[in-house]
Amino acid sequence: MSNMSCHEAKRKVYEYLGEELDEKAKQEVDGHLSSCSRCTEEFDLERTISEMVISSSPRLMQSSDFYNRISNSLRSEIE
Amino acid sequence: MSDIINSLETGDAISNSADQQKLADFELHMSPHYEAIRRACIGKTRNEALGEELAQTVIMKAFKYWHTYQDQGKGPMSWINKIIQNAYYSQSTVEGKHNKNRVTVNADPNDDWQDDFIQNNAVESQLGASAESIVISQLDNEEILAAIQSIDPVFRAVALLNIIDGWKYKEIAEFTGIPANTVGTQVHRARGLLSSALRQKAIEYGIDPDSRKKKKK
Repeated sequence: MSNMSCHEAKRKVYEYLGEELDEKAKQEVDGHLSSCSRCTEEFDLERTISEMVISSSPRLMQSSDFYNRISNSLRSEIE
Repeated sequence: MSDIINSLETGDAISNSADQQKLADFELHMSPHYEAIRRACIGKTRNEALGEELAQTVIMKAFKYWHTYQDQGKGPMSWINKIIQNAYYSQSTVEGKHNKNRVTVNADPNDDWQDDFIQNNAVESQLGASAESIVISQLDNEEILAAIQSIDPVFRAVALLNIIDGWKYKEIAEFTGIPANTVGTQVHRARGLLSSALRQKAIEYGIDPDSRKKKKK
């Protein structure tokens, strides 16, 4: 049984998802999540958001003309 | 005379073909990293326009010296980081503009970003995380994109290095020169704002995902 509060668990959500926590801290969060459905839902929500951001990556790239500028500069370099 | 011209044309063709091959090889290895380089350079310069300028310089230099790159099984980013650091210091020495135009971001290590996160997520009780998760997972790319682009460009660049490119705080710190704890602050702020914006959107649409379609009409 973890002694971690919901407040403490939520403060660590991004480190947890980004695998920045050391093993001890991760186990504490896991312990809390195993007994708190509300925080588990919160963590799942943040995980969903991360997945949505990752899936929007190609669209994000298209929205900028950086890739095209690089491509054009490289081609003019070899002409 | 025509033999000389033919010979020159053949030489040009070979040279052109070698350049094309070099470009194809470079793009094969490097183009998947263009966005990460752009984000790292924005983090480095703390300015979107200067960051993109630096990233372009870095990629052009990488292309110029591509023949010197040796893949040691870890990919090109450690080599790229050396180019970023050299190009950044060359540009800032010559032009002196990086410091002048650099945006000051909150770098106070004592700043309690974690409480910001809690506040940003104060919307949680309105629908419940589980219901919000369902609605958010059905948002389209344009809505996600709008939420991402509503975040400060420097925070956004650092956060996306973490979320999309999967870079650890330490790695981001090495590339950008931002202390790792400040990277953590920025990632938390950006992720908290993003989460808040998307959760707000979920509340706007309500639990029923179909209401989103109705409201968009």
